[in-house]
Amino acid sequence: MLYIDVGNSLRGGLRTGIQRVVRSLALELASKARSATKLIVYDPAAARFFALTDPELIRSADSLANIDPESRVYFHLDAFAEGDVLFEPDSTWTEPVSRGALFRKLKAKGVIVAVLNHDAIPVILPEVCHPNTLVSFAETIADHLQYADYALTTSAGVDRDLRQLARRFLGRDMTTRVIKLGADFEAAAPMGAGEDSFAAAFPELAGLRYLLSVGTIEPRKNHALLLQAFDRLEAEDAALVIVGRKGWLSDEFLAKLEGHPNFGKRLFWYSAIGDEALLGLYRRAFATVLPSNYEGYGLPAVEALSQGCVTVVSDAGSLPEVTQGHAAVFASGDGETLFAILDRLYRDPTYRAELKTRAKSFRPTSWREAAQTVAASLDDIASGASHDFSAPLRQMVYLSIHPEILDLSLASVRANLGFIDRIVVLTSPAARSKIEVVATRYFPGAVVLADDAVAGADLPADHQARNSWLRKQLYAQDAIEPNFLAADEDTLALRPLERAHFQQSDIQRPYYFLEDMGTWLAGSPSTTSYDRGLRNAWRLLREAAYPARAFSSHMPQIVNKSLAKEIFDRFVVDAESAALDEWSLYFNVASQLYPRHVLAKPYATLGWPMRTGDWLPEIAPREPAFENYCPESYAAGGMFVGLSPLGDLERKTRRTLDALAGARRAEIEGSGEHSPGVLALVITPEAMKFISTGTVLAGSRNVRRILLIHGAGIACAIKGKLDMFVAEPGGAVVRGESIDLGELCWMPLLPPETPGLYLIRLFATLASGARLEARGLLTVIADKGSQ
Amino acid sequence: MRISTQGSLYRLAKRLSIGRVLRYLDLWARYLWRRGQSRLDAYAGRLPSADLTAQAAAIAAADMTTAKRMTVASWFPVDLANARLHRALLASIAEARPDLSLSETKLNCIARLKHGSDLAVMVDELVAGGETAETVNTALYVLLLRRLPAPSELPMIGSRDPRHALIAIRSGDEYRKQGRKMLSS
Repeated sequence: MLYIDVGNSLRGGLRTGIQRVVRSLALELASKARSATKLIVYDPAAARFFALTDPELIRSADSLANIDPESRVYFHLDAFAEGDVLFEPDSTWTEPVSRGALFRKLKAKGVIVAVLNHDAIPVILPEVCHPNTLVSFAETIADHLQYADYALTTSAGVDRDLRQLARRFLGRDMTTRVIKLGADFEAAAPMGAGEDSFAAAFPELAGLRYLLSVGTIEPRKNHALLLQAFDRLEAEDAALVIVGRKGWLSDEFLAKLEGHPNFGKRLFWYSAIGDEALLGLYRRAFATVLPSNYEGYGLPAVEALSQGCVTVVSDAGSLPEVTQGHAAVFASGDGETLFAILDRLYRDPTYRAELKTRAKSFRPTSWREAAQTVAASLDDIASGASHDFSAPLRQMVYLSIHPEILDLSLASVRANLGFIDRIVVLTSPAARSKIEVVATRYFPGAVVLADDAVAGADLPADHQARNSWLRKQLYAQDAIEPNFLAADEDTLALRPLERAHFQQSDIQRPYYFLEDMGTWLAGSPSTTSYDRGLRNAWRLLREAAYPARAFSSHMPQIVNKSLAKEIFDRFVVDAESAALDEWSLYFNVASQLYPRHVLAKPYATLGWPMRTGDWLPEIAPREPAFENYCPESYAAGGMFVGLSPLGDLERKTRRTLDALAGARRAEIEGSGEHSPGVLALVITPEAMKFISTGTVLAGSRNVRRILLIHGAGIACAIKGKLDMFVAEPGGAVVRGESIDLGELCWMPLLPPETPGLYLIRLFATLASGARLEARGLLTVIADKGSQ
Repeated sequence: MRISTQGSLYRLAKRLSIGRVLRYLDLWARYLWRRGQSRLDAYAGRLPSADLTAQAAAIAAADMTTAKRMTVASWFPVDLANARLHRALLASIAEARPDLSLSETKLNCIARLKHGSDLAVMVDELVAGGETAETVNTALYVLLLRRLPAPSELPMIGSRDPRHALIAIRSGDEYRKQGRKMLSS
């Protein structure tokens, strides 16, 4: 379902600028697919949205009060469903519903948010805007930058402005599509198709060759410059007609206008006229002039040209772009050049004829065509048709620098993934020749690329940031197919799989290992680049209202080339971008945008996590098929000691699941008299408090975590040294740990070997010099499950 | 540094469990040192604040998944209202429009606002600090702009107390224009 919010245009009742765009587009879109499109309005009195029963109402209604109750179908936000699209073409910054709150709520339901941005003027040129608009607009554009999945823009200029704002304020980009607006009128014929009716409507213009300027009276439109130029014209029949309502900061100009000696004689201001009259004015104008300081689009210029009217515009904003060389252009603010053009128009018929010819050759877009373009964009956004999710999966794409490990991985792929018949490997220049030997041994046509050629010589030093940057560049290479399996070199396929494991027709299946990255406690005693990448990705996704599962499951994953480009272009803008877990970034956004094509499942990897003590296993691998290969797993004390890297699936599965079950029993589920509860230490700059609920299983193999909780919020980082001691009731110390505070979320507790009641004491010396202490009791019980 | 596992000294040390003994001695030394410091600091006199006690109670009542979320969010907080972004955008226009008087105080106030209860506290702080009603009104206006007011906030918003009344920032009653007034009925 496509929901189009038209509330502001209905509420305001205006028919200029954005309101004209909204009415024309909404009507065309609703006519095209009536049953799949709803025009919606927020009613503050009912605190609910309603849908118009008849889209035609948007043509006739000019206020909310004019829409009778029978024409409204009220609905709750719960009516929105996964995969629906909310389209906002309107000036929603004066709407009574917070866009941020609305977008967050809808995105949590899987709705795609698409906005139409007309310009970013209040942020780019704050000096020419009304104060209320400034604050409202800044708040709303912030929500657009943060939450909009797609932004349609009315010109390349607006597109550039919007993306620059996203980069400046968020350090990322936006996914945008430039559309064309229409220029035809609702009115079938202009007023005064016959001369008599026009003369009757505008008798004061009889015998005058008038310049026409259309637009709200506000400083940005720069009417004052046009008036100055007009005053210098010597032609006695020269006139100036200004059409537009009174806007903000216009009192001074209007006083000058209305006090002008020619006002009402050769100088006219029409504050409210209909489409028919405006059409008539365009057609009879000597020239239309737009002297604006900035225009996101410049609809009057396009309308004038579409009527074959000689048109003069400044070079500000998008005006040169939308007039496409069919108008005379002067430098914005250059009154001398403007006067010279106008003076020549009145003096030199040949010059005017030339401009007239240029105007008549302008080929405008109709609102129907414009709506078709918008509809095509929205259809594509909703369907994902342009991403070709069904193109056959047959390629595997690696990052690798260790030939011996790649060798193992490729042997396993050849043996078990029969649908893979080609590979691409990205490696370092130093390892390239050895990697090439290994790759071509298994896949004779293998493409081996060096990272300096693909992503430049200056790669990020941080491991995770480098991988994100490399994958972004690699996935855009010509050698990459529309759908491919992305993998690391340490991936081993352990049993035969069909393509359907990853792709069935146009459905793709990524695999996750954690429901919420916000529960990723990371390693201890120190965090790694991978941990930071996971946390950065979690924050970014949550703040933009996307789901935040962890997808770096250390198994091959199917990636769509064009969607990956779209997502990485938006979030990984340059090599300096923050370290992100690129797997989780891509699959969370992809599954939100295309819920019918990207369906996630729990992961299927053995050996991940590498040690069960690293990680609380909320999800165990299902139907294991892959291994995260690590030589340490086969060394003494390793989980897979005595087993073969390319075999022993059943024994590896049993060992992995046993270890995970043991960790779950010790720390999450409990059994019998054991109830794990929570062990935690809350730390503030002034005090600490230890929390211990439940029991602890005896024995160091039942390792527990003491969660470290920053009790002071974001006001100050707490850094310092923390020591923990576990002592018997008699006073003998049996266990202890020492860590640095700062980024760690937990410290390990190796439970004593003997059951009993133990005293736990924690001492901290903070960077501020404060010394803190907390203490508590541990109830350690026998591990009967191990007997 | 990696110790060669082939060294005779290493083998002897391992046989005698010297590493374990040293670690145990170190544990005791640290423990005694910390206990001594603790006695000097008269730990018993410093009790946790009520906030900390309440937070501890919430954690004790949570399941492991919730406790993990609380842990990670406490060190790496997510700005769900994107207050930092909103503040940065407003700050960018403040310089060009001094008439808005978007001072640091006001911007901080806006960035901190999340709930009506924050507002009441903040208003008192601002007024006590000599801030004008405009500061308060701008903050309140922005708060309302971000979401619909909760029913509990309506009496405060509807009041005409100079500290709480919502008047337009400079001109026009934006609050009324947006139809928010109607929500209280």
